[in-house]
Amino acid sequence: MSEFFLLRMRVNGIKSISKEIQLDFYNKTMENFDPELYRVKAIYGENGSGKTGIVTALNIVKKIVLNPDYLSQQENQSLLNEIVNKKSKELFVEIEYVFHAPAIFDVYKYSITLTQSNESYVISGEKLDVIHSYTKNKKFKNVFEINEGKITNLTASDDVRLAIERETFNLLNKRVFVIELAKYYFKEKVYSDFSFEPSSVLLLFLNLKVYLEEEDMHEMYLITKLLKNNFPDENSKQNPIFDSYIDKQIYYLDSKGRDIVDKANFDSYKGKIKRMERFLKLFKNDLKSISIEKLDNGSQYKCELILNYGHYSVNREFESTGVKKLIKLYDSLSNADNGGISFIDEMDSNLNDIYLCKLIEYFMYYSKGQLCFTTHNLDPMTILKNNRNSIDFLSSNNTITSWKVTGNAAPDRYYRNGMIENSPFNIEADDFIGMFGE
Amino acid sequence: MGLQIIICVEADKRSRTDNNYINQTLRHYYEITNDININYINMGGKSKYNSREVLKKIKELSSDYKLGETSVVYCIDTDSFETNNTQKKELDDITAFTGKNGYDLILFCHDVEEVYWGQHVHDDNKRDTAVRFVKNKEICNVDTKRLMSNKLSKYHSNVLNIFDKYLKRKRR
Repeated sequence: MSEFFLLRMRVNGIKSISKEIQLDFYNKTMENFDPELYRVKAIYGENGSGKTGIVTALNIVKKIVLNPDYLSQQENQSLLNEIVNKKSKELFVEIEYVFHAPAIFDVYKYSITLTQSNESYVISGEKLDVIHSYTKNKKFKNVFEINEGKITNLTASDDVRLAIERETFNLLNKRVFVIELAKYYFKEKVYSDFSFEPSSVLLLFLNLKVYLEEEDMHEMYLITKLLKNNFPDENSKQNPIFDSYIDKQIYYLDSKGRDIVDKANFDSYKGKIKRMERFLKLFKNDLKSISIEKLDNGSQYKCELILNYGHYSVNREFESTGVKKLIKLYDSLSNADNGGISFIDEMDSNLNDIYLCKLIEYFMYYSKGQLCFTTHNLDPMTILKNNRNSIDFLSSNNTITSWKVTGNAAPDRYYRNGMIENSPFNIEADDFIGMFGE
Repeated sequence: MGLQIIICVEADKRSRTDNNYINQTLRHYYEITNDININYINMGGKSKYNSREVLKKIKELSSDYKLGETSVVYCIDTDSFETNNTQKKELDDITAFTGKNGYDLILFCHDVEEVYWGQHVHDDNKRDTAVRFVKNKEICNVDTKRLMSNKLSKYHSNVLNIFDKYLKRKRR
């Protein structure tokens, strides 16, 4: 069995984060790699400290890696303009991960920097390093490095380098090199250790799920903004840009509350809904089944979920907020359970404390993957405190403090009493006097 | 290096009148940065200054804080110490207790309301008056000199002198 494990992540330049933040997911020696106590991490922090920013940054990098056109799409540029830190106008993300399989134990470090240039964001730097068959004394070896759209280093023969330079000429500002390189090796049928290096980044991101609350996806805001900017005047009723945004808006509204499923994947979707039904029954013991109402839509189905409670049934759209949240979370939880890496923002919102804690406990003891979530709920601390690197505190001045096991100390009490470095709170009930109304 | 200030006030958790005045003082006069941690202990009466609960709480907060020094500050109304022997003795006892333990002692003469309002406030009105103090930002109208006295005199306190030892002022 092969597995990716995220070791470290560094982020800078997203939302309120203007100093580099480093999250460590593993701090044991790598020689006897054993991630069991490190599979779950909770990130705590005051409102506005940047928890969502961390998750958003990872989501952006994932999209850039998996969608070659991401940086060429106007709505994504608008999003970057709004959420990249307004002072630095530069977003940096670096991830360090292990890929291990029988007889393979490689450590990778991949980084990407986006910088604003002429009102739009471009890739100003990208780098991949690797340590094959990790041992303590081995150092990272550079696979490639891109600066300002140019290949400044590539570990490959001159022929390969020339060919790739030709293929990626003028592209590397908007497209990640790692995918272009992986595509090249694939096309040329180059199969070796080094040809797998770029593919590992692609596989990592395919194994990574990011969950953000709807308001943090900003989709409606962006569609509305684009619509306003492209609204046709009286003299030009036929405006193709306008029409395309109308389509996008309709698609957005249409896909809310329903799943768009490729017909070829419908059976696996049905299987997923069946598993989700079992999951939801734990929370709603009067739930009998979930049925799928599918509408034919060319090569796809538009699927609505109907939750049956015996004497009545409810369309997902009209379910309680809590049940809707569980349905939305299911994919990410299922990914982490099956060996993937999942980042969930505000995992506690709309979830009952007791269920939340039991879910986290499950992931600590049974999951095969990695789960990282942000939360304001302090209850999970009691469960996570005996794990390793499992509780991080993000302060408003962009510093991370990891909880370290010290006797019977209770992290929630420490946090509440301001004993965590840089997170003193210093807020009193009296501070709210006069804030509301007359 | 961080600093924790544990502020022990007479008021109970419900009325919180002292918290209102002291919190306003801290917010108005000082820069409270991320390396400062302020915790209140509501003693529920002046006579509880050395009660088991209060001492336990001080001990707990002090031993939990690993980011730097902890300072303990008692905030006490002098009441009618000039005319009432019981109150005079209690004040002497508290002064001796804080001195012995290395704690700071902030005194309000004769009580916190007199210092911040410049007049006596009846017990029944203390809570509403404290809320009004915060709501109307009355701290802006308090004569700073009254908060910087080391002598026990009517309407005066040493509150700023004590906090000046630990915190950086943002206004004089």
